[in-house]
Amino acid sequence: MKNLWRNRLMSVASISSVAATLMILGIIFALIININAMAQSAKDQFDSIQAYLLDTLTADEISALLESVEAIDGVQSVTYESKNDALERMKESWKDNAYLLEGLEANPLPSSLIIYLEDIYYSSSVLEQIEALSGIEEVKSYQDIVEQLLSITEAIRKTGIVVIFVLIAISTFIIHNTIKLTVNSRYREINIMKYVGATNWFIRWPFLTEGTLLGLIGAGISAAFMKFAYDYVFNLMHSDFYVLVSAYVVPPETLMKDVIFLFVVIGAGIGALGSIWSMRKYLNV
Amino acid sequence: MIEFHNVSKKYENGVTALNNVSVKIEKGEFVFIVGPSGAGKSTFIKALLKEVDITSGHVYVDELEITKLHRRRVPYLRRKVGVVFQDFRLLPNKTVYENIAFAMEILGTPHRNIRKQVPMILALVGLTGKGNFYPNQLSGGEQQRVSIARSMINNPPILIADEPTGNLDPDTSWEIMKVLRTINRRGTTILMATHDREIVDIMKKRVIALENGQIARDDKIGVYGYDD
Repeated sequence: MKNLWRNRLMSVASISSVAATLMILGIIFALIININAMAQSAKDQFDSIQAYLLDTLTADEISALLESVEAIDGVQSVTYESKNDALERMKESWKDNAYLLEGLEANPLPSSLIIYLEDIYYSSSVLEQIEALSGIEEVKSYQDIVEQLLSITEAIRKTGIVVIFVLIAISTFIIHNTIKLTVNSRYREINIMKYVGATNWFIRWPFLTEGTLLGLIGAGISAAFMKFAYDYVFNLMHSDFYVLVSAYVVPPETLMKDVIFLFVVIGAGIGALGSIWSMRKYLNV
Repeated sequence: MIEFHNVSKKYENGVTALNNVSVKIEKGEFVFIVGPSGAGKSTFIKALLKEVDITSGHVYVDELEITKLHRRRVPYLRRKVGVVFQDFRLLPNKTVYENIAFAMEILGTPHRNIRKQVPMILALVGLTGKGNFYPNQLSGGEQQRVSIARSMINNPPILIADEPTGNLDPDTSWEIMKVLRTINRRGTTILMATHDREIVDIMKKRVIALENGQIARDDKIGVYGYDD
């Protein structure tokens, strides 16, 4: 403790670097968590494929088609929507403007099969097989959107991990340097301890505590920052303007539980690693 | 107590510091190690403390073969071997009492025992009442006695003194020798590397002379035998 104060400039540098690392980690973590949540709900919404049928198909051909679609791997269920059903649904969704549809002489909407998937990941293979069937005029799916969403999530996750590893390495190095100052100033003491028969862990212990403490203080600061920042963003999202996206934002309590755990573990880890590293050459006497 | 069996040490820079050295030191002996600079005295002592790893041969300390000793076990070897250096190696910001107590704290000795034993060892080395002094308030001889007290506080069976009188005037050197003799009479095996002709000649103890990494002489009651 005394040493933390004696080398306060380096202590402040260590604490800030851990805090900065963890803040960035926290931001990336929050982004990933939220994008995952959004992707999850998108998957739930977009896990159907609509296959429009040719008008010329007979009832027998339709039921045969239905059976062969059901047989495809990854298909959970298939429902048939006739031309009339489609029109009814359209009227319903147009509501007040439905009168516009009254003037139609013939029903222009095609009949279709609505295919629900077991999982979004099957969508491209299912799509391919459906397109190969005869009697289908056009297939509509949300595959493009979903794939884009998945690739964005993946990209953020990957860059995030790289950035975090670099930052962790930097903070470990800074803590290593801070502790080295203390170790240097107590070099004689360590040397004598070795000759009197102190075990390495006996010597290491105080330095390890010091490093871990630096890491934990940094973790505390960044956790406080995360709490305020995330609460602020969360409330902003819940103002009227963003109401559309806000449904997907993970609530602060859920996020903070994970964030605090993550910060404590990584903060203490950086501190411990940095201090053990700084002692290595002094223990080989 | 200590046995070297065909011990050789060749450093990475090609210097052969010990060349096939075999020697046996019994419990309770007082042994001088003499020889010109670079003859292998330091390496001999370092091999005993496992500060250097020998190239070939075997070293036994207190029945224990230390050549193959795991690095983790080295602290326990050092607890059997007290060491005194030419430059005392005391912590300047700790008092005499704290410097000695420090060696006991490392072994986890309860404070009650520390408070009892430190004054006893201070009496043994003739420093009664100096417990609250800082090293820079003491003379060189007194500082060396503190260092001896620290090395002996945990009762090691062996004491190694590496030129303990090297920085002291002749009168003070004799005071240190008296302390070492007292400790030796209590049963501690003492190994002392020295360049002090007068002390070696007058003490009439066993003398091992190292030259070019080999044992040149080993006399039961020896003399210094060099002209420097």
